[in-house]
Amino acid sequence: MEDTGRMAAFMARIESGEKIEATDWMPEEYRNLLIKQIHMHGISEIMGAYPEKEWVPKAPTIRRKLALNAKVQDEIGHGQMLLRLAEDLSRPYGRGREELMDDVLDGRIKFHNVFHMEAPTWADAGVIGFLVDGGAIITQAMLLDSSYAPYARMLKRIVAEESFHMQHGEAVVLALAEGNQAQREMLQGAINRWWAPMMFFFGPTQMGKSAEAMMGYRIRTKTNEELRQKFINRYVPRIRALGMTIPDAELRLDPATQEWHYSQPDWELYNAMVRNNTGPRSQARLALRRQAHVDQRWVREAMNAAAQRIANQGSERQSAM
Amino acid sequence: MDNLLQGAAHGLMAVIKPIADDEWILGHRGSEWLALAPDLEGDMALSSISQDNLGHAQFYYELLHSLGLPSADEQVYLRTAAEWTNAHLLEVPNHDWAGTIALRYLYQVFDDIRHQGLLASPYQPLTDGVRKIRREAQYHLQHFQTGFEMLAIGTDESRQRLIEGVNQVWEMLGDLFSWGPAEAFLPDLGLQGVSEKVVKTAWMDRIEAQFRHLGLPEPAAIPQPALNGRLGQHSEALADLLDEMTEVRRIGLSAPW
Repeated sequence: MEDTGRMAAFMARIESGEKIEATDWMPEEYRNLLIKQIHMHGISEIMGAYPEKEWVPKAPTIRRKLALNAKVQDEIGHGQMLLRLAEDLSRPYGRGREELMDDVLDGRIKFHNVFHMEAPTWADAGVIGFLVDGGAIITQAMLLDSSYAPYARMLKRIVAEESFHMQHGEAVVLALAEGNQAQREMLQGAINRWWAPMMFFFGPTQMGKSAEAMMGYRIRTKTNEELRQKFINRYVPRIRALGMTIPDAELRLDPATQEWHYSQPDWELYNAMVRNNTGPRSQARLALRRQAHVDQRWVREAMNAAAQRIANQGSERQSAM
Repeated sequence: MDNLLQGAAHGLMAVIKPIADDEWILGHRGSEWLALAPDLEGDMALSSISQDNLGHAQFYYELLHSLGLPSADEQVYLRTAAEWTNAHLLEVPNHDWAGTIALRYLYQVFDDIRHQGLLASPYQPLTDGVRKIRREAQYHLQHFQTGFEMLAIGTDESRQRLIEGVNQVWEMLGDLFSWGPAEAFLPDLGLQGVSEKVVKTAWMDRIEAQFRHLGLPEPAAIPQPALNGRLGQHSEALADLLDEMTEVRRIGLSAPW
């Protein structure tokens, strides 16, 4: 079948709500958009482990320490599952795990703005679960309908875990809200730090070219603004119920449109942060990733060499029989 | 405490405490590896093991609580360094990956022998728990033994680093086998099988055999401890660890968290 015919048939499948599998033919643009989305998603999960990982050694009770350790483990697990998908999609380009991981260190792939930010208090560790995982659930719930079946299937599992993370974050936040003055102040401080980055998190109202293209291919199904509105709608009452305030004097619900008005985050600042890795913690976290991935390449090489040696012994034994 | 005599409870606590402290400190240091392991799969495995270690410690602290000590949380968060009885080699800052694998492998063999001995206890709440913990610990042993063997046969670099790791850890082995004051209670508790001498001999036999099998340099004798953690003697490293660990908790010792 010639390309235009294949393309028309592919689009007809997408438009009729059919799902695409990894082994199906797909246009190169579709493949590249998927790689871009899933690679960025996977790497963001991994970079997202760092702000919370810092708090595992300091978690204030046995229960919290176990829960936070498990949460960070889940984030690494999500990163691993998503990179497996990106590896499958990147196979025609001859790129695997090593390269996909190198990309973030070489600045070829970006990660979410929220993971460039500082998490200076225990309340930040709770608020990340509460707001960031809560926000991620909203974007990922939309992706459950993704036209790419392996991504949709994997997200089902990821979203289920993220909702545990959100509940963990909510439990930490609730305890602080019911705590002493210092705890409540710590909580308000963290909410103040995370609100504007969360407004940026969903992306500009006027979406970029690749986000538009992803809508066309039904890789994603909702606009940035729809997602942000959903987030505000969900979190304004929750934060107020904690007795905390939202750091945005412009925030109000328009009774006519039922849309929230909010202050624009500093788009320039956050965009530059993500593009150039110039956030307050970008370089420190990339340094940790480099330490894990580059400085310990010798371990992966040793494991491969050992596995090879064991396999060779096995086949020698077999041929001797 | 059921039919436990007052004296037996005292002895049991002295035996259980260092085991709990070993597992807690191990889990704490292990969790520092989060997101820093050489690959994602290994990261998740180690993280899962750390949670198991912390969970084991929690079981022992709860058992100690049932024997009269404060709550598990208070035992973890409100003690000074001199009140901890973990072995010295577990409290030092993490080594590189090879050193960590060496430490963990050497510890897991020790832990395995200690568990076997503990099963002889007539105190059922202890043996029930140890039986459960042992099921997990056997996977830990398998995991670190595989890691140890793979580094030994992997590349020249990994083998060299493993040997250096073993040497670093070896110098600190002294107090691992010690029970401090608890040694005196072991016969009455039916726990001769975990006495310093018995465990040390069994451990050395297994380690020597493994080193021979992998062609690693013959291990030196186990050094005398410079500090004995079982007696509450610790390096600065433990004080630093506890300082960091309790940083948040100290904002409100009795506040809800």
